[in-house]
Amino acid sequence: MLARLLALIAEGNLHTAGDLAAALGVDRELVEAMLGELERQGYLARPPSTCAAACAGCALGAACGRVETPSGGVSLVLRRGGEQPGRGGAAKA
Amino acid sequence: MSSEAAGLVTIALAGQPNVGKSTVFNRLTGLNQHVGNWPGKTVEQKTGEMEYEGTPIRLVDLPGTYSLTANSEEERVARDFILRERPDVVIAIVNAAALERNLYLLAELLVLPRPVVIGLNMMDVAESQGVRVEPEVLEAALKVPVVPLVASRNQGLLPLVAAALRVAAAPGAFAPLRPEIRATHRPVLAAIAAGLAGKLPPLYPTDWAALKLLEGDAEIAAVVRAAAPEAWDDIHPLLLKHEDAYLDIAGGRYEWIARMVRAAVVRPRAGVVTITDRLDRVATHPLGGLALLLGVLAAVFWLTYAAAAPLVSLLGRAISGSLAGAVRSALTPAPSWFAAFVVDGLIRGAGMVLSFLPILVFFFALIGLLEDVGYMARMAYVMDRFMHRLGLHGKSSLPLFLGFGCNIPAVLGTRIIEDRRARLLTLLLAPLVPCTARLAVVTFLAPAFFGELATWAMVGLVALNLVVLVVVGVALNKLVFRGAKTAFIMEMPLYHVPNLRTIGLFVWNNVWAFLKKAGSVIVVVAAIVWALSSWPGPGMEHSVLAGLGRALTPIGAWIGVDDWRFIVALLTSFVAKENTIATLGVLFSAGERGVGLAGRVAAALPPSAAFAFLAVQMLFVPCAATVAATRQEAGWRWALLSVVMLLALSLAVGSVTYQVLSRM
Repeated sequence: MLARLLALIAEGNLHTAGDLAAALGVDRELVEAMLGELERQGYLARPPSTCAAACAGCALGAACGRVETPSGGVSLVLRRGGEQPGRGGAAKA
Repeated sequence: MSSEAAGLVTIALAGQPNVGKSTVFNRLTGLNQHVGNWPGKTVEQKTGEMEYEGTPIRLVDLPGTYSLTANSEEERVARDFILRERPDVVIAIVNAAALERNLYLLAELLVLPRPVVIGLNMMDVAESQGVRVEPEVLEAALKVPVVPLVASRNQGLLPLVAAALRVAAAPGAFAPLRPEIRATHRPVLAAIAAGLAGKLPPLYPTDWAALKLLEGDAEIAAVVRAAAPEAWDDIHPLLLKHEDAYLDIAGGRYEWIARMVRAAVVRPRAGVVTITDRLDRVATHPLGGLALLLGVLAAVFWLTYAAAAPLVSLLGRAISGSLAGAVRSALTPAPSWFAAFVVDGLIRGAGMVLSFLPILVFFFALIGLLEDVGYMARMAYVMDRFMHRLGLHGKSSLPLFLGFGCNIPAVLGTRIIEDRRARLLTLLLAPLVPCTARLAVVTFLAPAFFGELATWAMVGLVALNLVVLVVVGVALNKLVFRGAKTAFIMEMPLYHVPNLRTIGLFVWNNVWAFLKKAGSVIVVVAAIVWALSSWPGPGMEHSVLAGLGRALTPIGAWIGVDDWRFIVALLTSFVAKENTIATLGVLFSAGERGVGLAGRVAAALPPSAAFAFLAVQMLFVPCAATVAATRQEAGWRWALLSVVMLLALSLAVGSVTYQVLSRM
C-alpha cells in the first residue's frame, strides 16, 4: 500500500490526502499516517524553509506556499523522483 | 519473568508522542518516580514504583516514538530497553482518536518477543469528534487485550494494570495477530532468517533481526556484520537486491492497520467532515471547481469595485481637492516651488496612492474571508490542476505557485530545482505570475478606464496574464524539463465559520504593510518624479521627465499609448508596482482643479490602449525587490536577462492586444 501511495504521488502534480485516499480506497486518516511515515523515512520533505520565510509577509501566503499553516498550504514535497536518501542502510552498511 | 526481584513485575509504557503516556505514568506512580537519563544517552529516563493488589510493579516510561526502526536516539532507547531489559509486559498507549497513526508503533511492538497490552487512551476526545472506537472488537481483531482509558480523568488505569498483570502472568498464551510481510518478499525474509539462525547474540530474536535487515536498519546490519561476518557475506547481496523491501514491509503494516481500523472504528457520517466533503465535491471538481474559482474571482473584483469605488472617488477628491487646496493656501508664504512640491509631488502623487486604501481594505477583507472559511486552499488546488492539464506540471510548478502572493518567494522557491538550467529558466518565468501589488494597481485603474465593465476587464487581464504564463511555462517544460515531474501534497483545511477578528487582523497587517511602503519608497519616488517633471521647466512639458517620456513614445505607440506620462508611470513601477498610481497622480494633477485623477487618466487613453497599457503593467519588468532576489539567486547576468525578457514580452503582448482590440 505504501509503494502504491508513493507511485501515485510520484505521478506528479499537487495532491491532497483526500485525493490519495480516494485513489487507494482507504480513509484519509490512514493516508495522513502513511504520509507521515514517508516523511520520517525521507521520501517526502517539507519545502525549503526559505519559502516559509519569504511567504511570511505575503498577503496570500496561506493560499499557496506558506509552510505549517493552519489553513492550508504546501506541506510536503516529493524528493527527486521518490528516492529516499539513506534507504538501504543495511545493504549499504 | 525477567524482573530483578522475585515477584516484582516490570511494565514498560510505550507510545507515540502526545498520546497521554506521561499522564498514565504520573497517575500510576504518583510521587514514586525517578527521573534521570538513559545510560550514555541524552534522552530522559523515567521509572516509578507502584503496587497493585499486593504485586509490586516497576513502571518504565519509554521515550515517545513513532516506530522502532532506530531512526532516532529515542527509538533506539525504546527498542533496546525491550530487547535488553525484557520487561514482563509492554503497555502500548494509543490515541483512540487517531488510531491510524498510532497502530504503526504497535505493529512493530508485536514483532518483539514481549507480550503487549493496549491502553486505548483519549476515548473522550474520540467521542467528542464523533469517532466511535469499539475496544472489544479491536481486541478480537488484534488478539491483544485492549483497555479503554481516559487517563486525564483517571478512568480505566487500574483495569489496565490488572490486564497487564494477567498477561505478564501467562506470557505463553500471548498470540497476537501480527502484520504480515507481502508474499513477494517472504522467501527473501525466510532466507535471511535461515542465514542468521543461531549466529546472533541471544538478545536479538532471529526473525525480528531478519525483518529489520530487510527494512534497511543500519544498526542491526552492524550487529550482524560484527557477530556473524560469514552470514553477512551471504545476506548482503540479498539486501542489495531487495532495497525496495521497506515499502513492502511498511505497506503490509498499513494494510494491517486499515483492517483493524475498519473493524473497530466507526466514523461520523454527518457533521463538519461531511459538509467539507460535500462542498469539496464542487470546489475541487476539475470543471465545476474552475468555474467556481472564476466566479469567485469575478465576485471579489466586482465587490471590491462596487464597495470601494465611491470611497476611492471621495478620498481622491478629498486628497487632490480639499487637502491639496488647504495645504496650498497654508503654504502661500512659502516659496512657490516648495508649495508645488508638497501639493503636486507629495499630496497628489504619494497621497493619491492613499486613495488605494478602500480598495485594499475591501480586497484583503474578501481574501481574508475566503482564506478563513478555508476556500483559498481549494482555489490554489484547482489552479494547479488547471495548469497541470495544460501541461504546466514540471518542477517549475511549485515556485510558480508561490508567486501568486509575491514574486520574491517564487524566485527563492526555485531553490528546490536541482538542475541549474531548469532553475534559471524558472527564475525567468516567476515574475510572470500576477502578484497582489499588480492586482491592486489594476483594481484601481480598471474602474477609471472601463467604468461598469471594470470587473470583466480585470478578469480578462488576469486571464491574459495566465495564458502568457501557461504558454511560456509549457514551452519551458517541453524544452527544458522534458517530462521530469515533481509532486507536492497540500493540506486541505476543513471549511468553517469565519472569524471576524482573524479577518480584521489579516486586513490590518496587509494595509499596514502597504502604508509603510507608501510612507517610504512611494513617497521618495513621487518626490523624484515631481522634481524631474518640474526641472528645468518652464512647466512640465519642458522637463527632463517629459523629454525622457517623449523619447519613448515611439515604443508607447506600439501599445496605442502616445501620452508620455503613462510611459513614465510604467517605468517607475520598477521601483514598486504601486508607483504607477503615485506617478500618474503627480503627472496628471499638476495645476488641475476639480476633476479627479480617474477622470483625467481615463480621458487620456482610448479603451483599447488602456487595456493594452494594463496588460503591459501586469507583465512588465519585475519590481526592484524581485530583481534583487533574482540577482541573489543567479547573479547580475540573469537578473538583467529577466528584465530584458519581460520588457520584450510585455511590449509584445501589449502590442498584439492593442492591435486586436483597436480593430474590433
